[in-house]
Amino acid sequence: MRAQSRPTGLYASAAIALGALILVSQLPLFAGARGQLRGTLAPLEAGSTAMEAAGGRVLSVFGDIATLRSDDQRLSAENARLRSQVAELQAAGAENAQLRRDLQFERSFGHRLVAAQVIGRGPDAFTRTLTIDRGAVDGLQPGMSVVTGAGLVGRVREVAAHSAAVQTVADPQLRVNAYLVASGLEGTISGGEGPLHMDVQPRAGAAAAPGEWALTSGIGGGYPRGIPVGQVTRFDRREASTVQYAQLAWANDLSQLDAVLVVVDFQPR
Amino acid sequence: MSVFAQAGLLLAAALLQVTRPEAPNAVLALVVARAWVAGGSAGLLWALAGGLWLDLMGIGPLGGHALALLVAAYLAVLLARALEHPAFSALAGAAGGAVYGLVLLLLSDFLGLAQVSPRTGALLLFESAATTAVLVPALVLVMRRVRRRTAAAW
Repeated sequence: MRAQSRPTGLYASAAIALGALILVSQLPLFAGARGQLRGTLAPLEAGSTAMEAAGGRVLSVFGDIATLRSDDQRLSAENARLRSQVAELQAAGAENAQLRRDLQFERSFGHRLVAAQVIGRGPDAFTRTLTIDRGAVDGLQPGMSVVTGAGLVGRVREVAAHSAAVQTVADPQLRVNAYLVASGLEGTISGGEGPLHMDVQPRAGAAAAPGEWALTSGIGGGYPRGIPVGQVTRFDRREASTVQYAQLAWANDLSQLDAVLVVVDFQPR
Repeated sequence: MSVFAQAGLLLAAALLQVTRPEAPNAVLALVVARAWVAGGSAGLLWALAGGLWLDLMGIGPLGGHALALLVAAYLAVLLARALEHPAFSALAGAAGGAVYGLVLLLLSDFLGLAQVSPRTGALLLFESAATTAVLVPALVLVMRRVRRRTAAAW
């Protein structure tokens, strides 16, 4: 009986202590300290990301060696070299295309942007977040919008000196007010498992069509107006319902995001 | 295994989670397996250490992941006592995965961070339960072997 109650007591004490920590850490007074504390692990995340990339290259080399054994050595080596060149060119091309797209976006967007590298991601599916290698010293502040040339990524949630945490549109906890370009319907986009969801306010005679783009509406002052969020893939129209529902394909892919742009001259209200 | 090595293992698992988008919740699986194999105090320490690492790498409330892991570890301890056969560790994994997600979702709701729709929440909980149920039995086997070889040194 004693053995049973001792762990229970320990767990209960720890749970109470953690509950207190959660509440204290949410106080605005400690927001800066919390961000700084989290920033201390950013170099580890950056190092881990770099190591992972290096590991991937090493693994691909082992894969090439296995192929070499089964084929003619000289031809395979030549082949591997050419494939490596093609992969490097493709990677450079993709990076170039993304940079061109981002540059074009910055020119046409009309806001001042700061480029940042993605060095970490949210620890689980319940928080779809990113850690980036820019922070307070680069002018970042909580609430700032984060974008790519493709569209909205999310918003800065916490800032340390040299890193920041970004809550993405795919995070189930984030809401983005948006409107549909062709139909003019407005609503709120939220993330989660799979595609984005948009709760659409119905308007008589108006209906969204697949392929239609959803852009930030600027309502609520959280984001600049006109940033692409996603494209409608499905629209459920129910005449009697007070809210209609659309499914969207996000303009960005969380797993493919390596670099982002932070809008530093738009202050959310 | 020294305290530093244990903390390092959990840090490595947490780093894996935050740098690989497709990685499963390795910290959760490690904590549940540890609680199943080594019991209450050990599970509690791993839940606190692993949870705080995740909290420092995420953006939720500080202590949120630690609390969610603590509840999952406690559930695993209770289930380990009731169902001693190792085959049931998958059940502890599923229950731990589900309750871990539930705590995080309730915490977000309670703190007013946001409300997740029931459909999305259910999908997330199912995914969490399923992946942890798969990982925990394998980790339990590994931990039992390590404990046997090191004469229960950790």
